[in-house]
Amino acid sequence: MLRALNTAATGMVAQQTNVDVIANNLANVSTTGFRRSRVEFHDLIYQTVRTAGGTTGNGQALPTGIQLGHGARSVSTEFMHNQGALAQTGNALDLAIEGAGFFRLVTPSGELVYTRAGNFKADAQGQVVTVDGYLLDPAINIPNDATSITITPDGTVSVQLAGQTATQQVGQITLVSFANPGGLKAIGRGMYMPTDGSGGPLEAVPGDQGLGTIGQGMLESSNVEVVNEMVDLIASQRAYEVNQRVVQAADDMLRKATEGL
Amino acid sequence: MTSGIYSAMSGAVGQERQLAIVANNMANVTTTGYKADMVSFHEALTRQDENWDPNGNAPRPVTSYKYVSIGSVQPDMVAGAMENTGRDLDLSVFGDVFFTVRTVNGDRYTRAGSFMRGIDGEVQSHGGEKLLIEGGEDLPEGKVLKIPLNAREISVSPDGVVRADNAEVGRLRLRRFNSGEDLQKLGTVQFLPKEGVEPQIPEQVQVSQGLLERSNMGVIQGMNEIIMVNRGFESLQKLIRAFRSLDERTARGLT
Repeated sequence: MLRALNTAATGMVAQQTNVDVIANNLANVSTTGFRRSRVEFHDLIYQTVRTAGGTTGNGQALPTGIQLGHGARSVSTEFMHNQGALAQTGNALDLAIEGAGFFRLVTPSGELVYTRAGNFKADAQGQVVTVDGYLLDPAINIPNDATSITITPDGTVSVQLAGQTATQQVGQITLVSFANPGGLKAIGRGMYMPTDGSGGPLEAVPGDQGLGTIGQGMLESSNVEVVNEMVDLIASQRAYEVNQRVVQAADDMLRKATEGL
Repeated sequence: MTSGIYSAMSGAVGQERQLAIVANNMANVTTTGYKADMVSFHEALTRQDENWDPNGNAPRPVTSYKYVSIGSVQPDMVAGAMENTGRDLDLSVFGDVFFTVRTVNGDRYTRAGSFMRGIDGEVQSHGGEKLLIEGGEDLPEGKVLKIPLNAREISVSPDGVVRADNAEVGRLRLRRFNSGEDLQKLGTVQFLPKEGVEPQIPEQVQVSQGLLERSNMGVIQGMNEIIMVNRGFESLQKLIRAFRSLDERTARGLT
């Protein structure tokens, strides 16, 4: 009886994790460059009560045995890197990656982090930074007297200075990819760090080496689909409920066994 | 004591065990590629009366004690619901066909088709098992599927051929088993063929990219089973009580 109780408890814990992940996805439905997560579950080990192929008392071989499972556990939460919808903003330093890849940023402590959120600004010194003030790497400086900024799909940044007709190249944006972007570690604020599971960053210019291209004046929305998350939430809620019913049934049977007999 | 009380008890023990199995099915209601366990009960230890003579010289047996126990537990191979995820390495196969994965303990079979590209380009499951492709005549035991790190597009055709940027990288090593009876569960959604069972090469395969096979255990079906187990246990417990009062009355009558 206790086996069913514990087994159902593992199912309830698994569904709690599922709901936690769905809640975070839904909370970030309008976060620029957000990547939804998905939980994967596995079944736990099985106890072999009777081995298949064993023999019964009268020497007959058993074609099937008895294996009792012990429930489920969550094995991974993986970032889903399907493209989010692109929204036109018209802002010259709003950049969206169309396809695979990440922007590389330098934190104030000098660490390298990666993001899909391309809502950049030019700071007082003309450096291209994120909303949190992290520098885009390789660094790009926009001269203060620039009247317009043009960024081509392959990442070339050119500016037109006041009183000049010719444009002038001021930098080249590069993107990085990972062997397994699903294995990146999220550090919040739309930023990720590589892990042993994701592999190291592979740098290239946009459009090369399987990387996406850059869309200027656009932002990539969160790739969370509200309808899908709601369906997952309902399914998870029902799964939790049915596991709770198992606990109730086990408890009921235990009570009957102790009181009734 | 009447023997019926033991028959009823064996039934109650069986119900308890069945609840453990239902609990496991329910805990895995959202596990990708999970196959529900099916229980079948059988009559065990049918004991004949000791005076029974097989030569027919004595009268027919008057009593036989019957007990019930779980005969077998085997995975139900019915396909689970297919969910459209659109992810390139979410794969599903139709029919009694399995993916072959390589673990540190040897090759295993699974229906959980959510894979990812590792840091060296080797395709693996969430648990780290490597997905296998056919090795041809040189390598009959198959080899690990490897996708170049700079490949932009991964496609898998319905017949199981994997292409990276339109260049063929291999054919999935898919194997077929006749029924759930041939397989043993290992946990982590992996199966191992039982002794003497050889995995067969399927004549026809249908692989779908961007689809994931969910658990084949339904919530409603599970609810039903819980209710049935609970009620079954209840009636057996009532039966045990009835036998007890019968024994009590008999004992009182004799004094």
